Formats: sequence, structure tokens, C-alpha cells
Amino acid sequence: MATREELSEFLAGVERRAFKQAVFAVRDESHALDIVQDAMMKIAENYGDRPAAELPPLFTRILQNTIHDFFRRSKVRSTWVTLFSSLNPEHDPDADPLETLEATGDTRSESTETTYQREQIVAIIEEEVARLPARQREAFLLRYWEDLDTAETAAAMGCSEGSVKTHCSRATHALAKALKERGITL
Amino acid sequence: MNQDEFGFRIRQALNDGAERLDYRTVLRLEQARGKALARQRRAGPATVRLPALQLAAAGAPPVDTGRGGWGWLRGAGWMAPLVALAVAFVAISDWQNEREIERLAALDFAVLLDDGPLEAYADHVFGVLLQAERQAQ
Amino acid sequence: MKTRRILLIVAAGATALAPFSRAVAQARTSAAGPAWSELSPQQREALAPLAGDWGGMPAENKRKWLDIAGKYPQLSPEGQARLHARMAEFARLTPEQKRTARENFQRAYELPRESRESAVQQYQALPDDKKKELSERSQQRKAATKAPEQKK
Repeated sequence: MATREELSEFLAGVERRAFKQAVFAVRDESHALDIVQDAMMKIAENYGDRPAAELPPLFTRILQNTIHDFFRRSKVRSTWVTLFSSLNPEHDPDADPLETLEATGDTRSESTETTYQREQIVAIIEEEVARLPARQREAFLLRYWEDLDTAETAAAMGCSEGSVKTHCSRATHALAKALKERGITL
Repeated sequence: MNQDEFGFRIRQALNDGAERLDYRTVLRLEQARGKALARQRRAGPATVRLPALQLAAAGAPPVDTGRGGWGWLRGAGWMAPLVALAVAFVAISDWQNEREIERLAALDFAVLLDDGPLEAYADHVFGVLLQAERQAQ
Repeated sequence: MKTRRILLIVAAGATALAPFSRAVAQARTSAAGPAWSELSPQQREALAPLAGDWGGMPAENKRKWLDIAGKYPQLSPEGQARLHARMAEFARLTPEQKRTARENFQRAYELPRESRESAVQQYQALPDDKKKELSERSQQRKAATKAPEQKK
């Protein structure tokens, strides 16, 4: 059974990422805060007595569900998401942007950037992540930000591992292409 | 660069972004956390359970209710509500005290992380200037 | 016989209250709170600037600082450095000044960034005699309107 301290520590560690993920999904900080608060209350009320180790996957699932619930309730999908879903082709006939990145970028160039530039880059990356189609973004963030493996991501998203790999791969390519177009080398 | 490497670099940027939240958001998140913790579901005999009726009378915070070993209260006649109230008061006051300390800790934490000069914050003259700015809005 | 029954009930009540009395005892007695040496290494690292002041601190302040120590590990290195830089100064403020600081901080964050920064600049540009004048005027106004008592 998770102690109060364990639950507190867990929530403290996850709240910023959760907030950011919610913002990427709903494009509104105020709603994102409500979503995170909702998710925290749900996990505390319904699963606060589980062992601490069980909290992370539970919270991941609860957060995703709360975000989806928000969309269902608001009924109107953000026009941003819809617009970019249609503009982001699932099949990219161009050359693999990842390969292009490797060819052009001095991958250590960021060490010489000023803090301001770094902040700008972070902001742009966040924008592009928010523009990803929902499933691609979810898969990508769960794999690379939440550190879940393919199986865990599939469980969290309620889809097959094959779908997860496809979503991740598309998300990566879309991001790489978008960042390249905005002049960012990683 | 392979996909994993790319993902890792994006993750670094995202972590950076998560660290840069403004303090209002940080505070709101702290508050959300506090509210959630207040409702933590607890199970097991070690938990103290208080009779729902007396708690409702005392206007208590949400606590798990159940039977527990409180049967003797029923036999205590007119003393029962008084004893239960006393117990509830102690519980509430402890609970409120703890909540207040957490609230202050969250606030102080935000003040410490902020870059505004402490000397200014601690001076109510600064408050006067803030008020003037607010009225100019 | 009735007296005996009542005494029995009170005794039973007192026993039932035991866990709470323990909690109350923990919360309110040992006016000193945990000693510096009783803190974990992580807590001591987080609260390092307060090592010297720790002994004289009331128990409730210690609990508050320990709460803050719990958040320390999640901060970035810059965040931790900033926390440390300001910790000692903040801890030494009088309770009145701390109250003011918390109030001003919250009000500052209700304003947009430019207004906040403008207020800071104005404050820092104020000569001391002006500060005094404003201070006295605001104190008078406060006394006149009888502001409600703030906690802590």
C-alpha cells in the first residue's frame, strides 16, 4: 500500500510531464490543469492503496483516459489537430528525414547556443509535438518521454504492438521533417 | 541518427520545457497534488475509521468511514456523541494543521524558486507598487 | 453504579484517543522538532543553507522546510542552486515579513510579467526616504481599515 509520502513523491515527479502532455493534447493550459487535477484525484481516490510500484502505469492510463474524456465531453476536436492530421501525410514519399538530419547536423551544435536560443528551440519542438496526430503523439510520448517499452505502450493505448511501432515511426518522421523545415538540427 | 537517438533528444527538449513552467502553474499543480492526497484511498485495519454520523455533525473532511472497533460507543449512551466529537476535533485540527503546513511549504517553495528579489517581496511597500500596477490594468 | 459506568466509558474513550494523542504529541510536543543529525542525508543536502539556523527553529517551521526538502530532488540544477541561494535569507525573515512575502508573491503572479517586472524596477529605484513615506502611509491605511489577521 502506497504511503502518503510515496503517493506524494510519485505525483510530484509526474505532474509536470502530465501537464505538458495534456497541453499538447488539448492546446489550453487551463483545461490541461483541470485534466491533471482530475487524473491525480482519480488515482488517489481509486488506487491510493496500491503498492507504489503500480502507480506509474495506472497514472499513465488514467491520464490518457481523462484527456480522451475531455475531448468526448467538449465534442469539438481542436481544429488544429484536425487540420494537421489531414496535412500530415501518413506516407512520406520523400527521403527519410532522419537520414537527412544525420547528414547535415553537427549534433553537438547546441552546446554553443545561448539559453534564449535553447528556449526557442524547446518551444518549437513543443509546438511540433502538439501538432502530431493524436495517436502518433501518444505513442511517441509514451515511448520516449514516459520510457515505456512497446508492450507497455500498447497496453496504455489499447492497441497492438505493431500499431505502436507504426505510430512511433510516423511520429518520428513527421517531427524530423517539421523540425528540419523550421531550421532545427538536433 | 536512428529513431531512438532522435526520440532521446526530443525527450531532452521536452524535459527542458517541463522545467520551465511558470510558477503559477507550478503552484496550481502543487495544489492539485495536495487535493488529491487529501482523498487518498486507504485500506486495511490499521486505518482509523470514524462513525460517519458524528463526523458529518462535526463538518469533517472526507475520511474513510466504516465500522471498526467503535461498537462500545453505542453502549455509552449520551456520552457517545461528545467523545466522538472530541476525537473528530482532534483529527480535524491535526489534518488542518498538516494541510496548512503543506500549503505554506508549496508557497514558500515557489517564492524561493522565483527570481524576484526577496527584499522586495518581504516589503509591503512593494505590495503598494503591485496594487498600483494592478489598478493601471 | 452510574458513576462507575461513566468512568469506564471515559477511560475507554481515552484509550481510543491514544492514536490521536500520539499524533498530537508528535505534532505539538518536542518543541524542538527533529535535530539536524536526525535528518536523512538527502534532507540535509536539500536544506544545507539552514544547517546553522536549524537548532533554533520551531517545530512547525522545520516540518515546512522538510516538506520543501522533499521537492528539492526534482528540481533542475539551476532550480536547486536558486533554492539554496535564497533559502537562508528567507528563513531569517521575521514571521511578519514572511507573511508579506507570501502575499506579495501571490499578488505579483496575478499580474502579467511586464507589470511584475515594472513593479520590481520601481521598488529598486525608490530612494530610502520615499520607501519610508510609502511604508508609513500604507501602515496607517491598514490600521484604519483594520485588515483581518493573517495566519502565521
